[in-house]
Amino acid sequence: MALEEPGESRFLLTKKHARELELAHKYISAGLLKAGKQLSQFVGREIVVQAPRLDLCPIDQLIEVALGSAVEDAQYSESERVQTGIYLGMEGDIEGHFLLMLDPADAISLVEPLVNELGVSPDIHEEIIQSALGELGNITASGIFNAMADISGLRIGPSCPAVVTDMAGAILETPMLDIAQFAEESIYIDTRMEMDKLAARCTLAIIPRPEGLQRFINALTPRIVGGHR
Amino acid sequence: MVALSSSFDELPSSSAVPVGIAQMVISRDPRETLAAYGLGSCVGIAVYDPTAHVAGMLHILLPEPAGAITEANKLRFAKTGIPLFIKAVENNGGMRSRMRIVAAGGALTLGKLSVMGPAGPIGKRNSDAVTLALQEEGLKLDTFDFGGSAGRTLTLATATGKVFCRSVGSVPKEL
Repeated sequence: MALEEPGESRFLLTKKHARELELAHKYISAGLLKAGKQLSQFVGREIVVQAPRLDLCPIDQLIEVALGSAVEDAQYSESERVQTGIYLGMEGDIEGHFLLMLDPADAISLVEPLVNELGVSPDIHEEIIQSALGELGNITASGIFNAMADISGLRIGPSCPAVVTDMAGAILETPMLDIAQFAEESIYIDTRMEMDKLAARCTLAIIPRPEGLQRFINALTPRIVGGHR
Repeated sequence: MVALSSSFDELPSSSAVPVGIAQMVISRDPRETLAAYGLGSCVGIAVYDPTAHVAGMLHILLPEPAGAITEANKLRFAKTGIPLFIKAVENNGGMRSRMRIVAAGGALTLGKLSVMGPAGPIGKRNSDAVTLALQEEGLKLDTFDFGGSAGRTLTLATATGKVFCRSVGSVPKEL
């Protein structure tokens, strides 16, 4: 398990919250590192998680931004690229959405060795794959939520996971649309996981609702003023 | 895994013009095909006037604004976007009496975890809001493909006015 240096950010942090987000980035990176270790144990293979990029992004552009990170030379038509999305609701003091999206073949490669080891009967193979993917999302989300809870003192937990394979735009649209009812921008985090020779590029979107985002930023502010950086 | 077939194969000379979220595109260029990609709970609305050969597409995100409406976000909502959209088609030579109007989307892409608003699932509210906003303009949908759980891509060819809707793992269907 290793944490690599992140790529340079292509999106400017909203200046007002730049320091809060920088601090959040530090903790969320640590949370992802921890999640990566647990994922390595879960799938029984070395998983490398890249340090995430974290930005605020205008809500109407979230899908473009997320897909632009997921694939090189992204075009709008990437919205219909087929992806597997692992979704968990964010519950507690911060409500919102967690979405991990990856190529369907990569998704299966990540968990299939584990499922094969279990020796399940073919008729429930697909179901177990879905369930293992849900658990993969759960481990990743818990790692990040715990990091966010540690830094802010807020209670944050995941809902049960849902796993869908569909057009990327259609998957991303659902959480994005919930936020668009209340807000103009959203936190957006993306990272990449690599397992052995398989580079499973995944898009990770963590999208808190505005009240929760404000609560989170408010909780971080005293730490910055107090010099805990 | 399932591959997407492309309806553009049938129109080799056409180029696809993407219509992103909260955007509208009006075209009189017969080489263009307008496309709203990966519609989930969003709704894509396609309008075509076969006499003026004007095509238009709008990609709305939500039924109606909860907060302030600005010039920048009017196209995000069915209620405020549709009147602007119809006006834009008219400004390009389209006539209301000749308009063929087709819409697709409003799915529940995350199943039971789909985002619920105060008045039910947003996908359903979006498709209802589109129908209502058109009614208020004295217009109605000729045909539609709403609901279900799968994402959709909606295309409209400016040359022919043909509208296709496709989902993952299924054959594109003409609307």
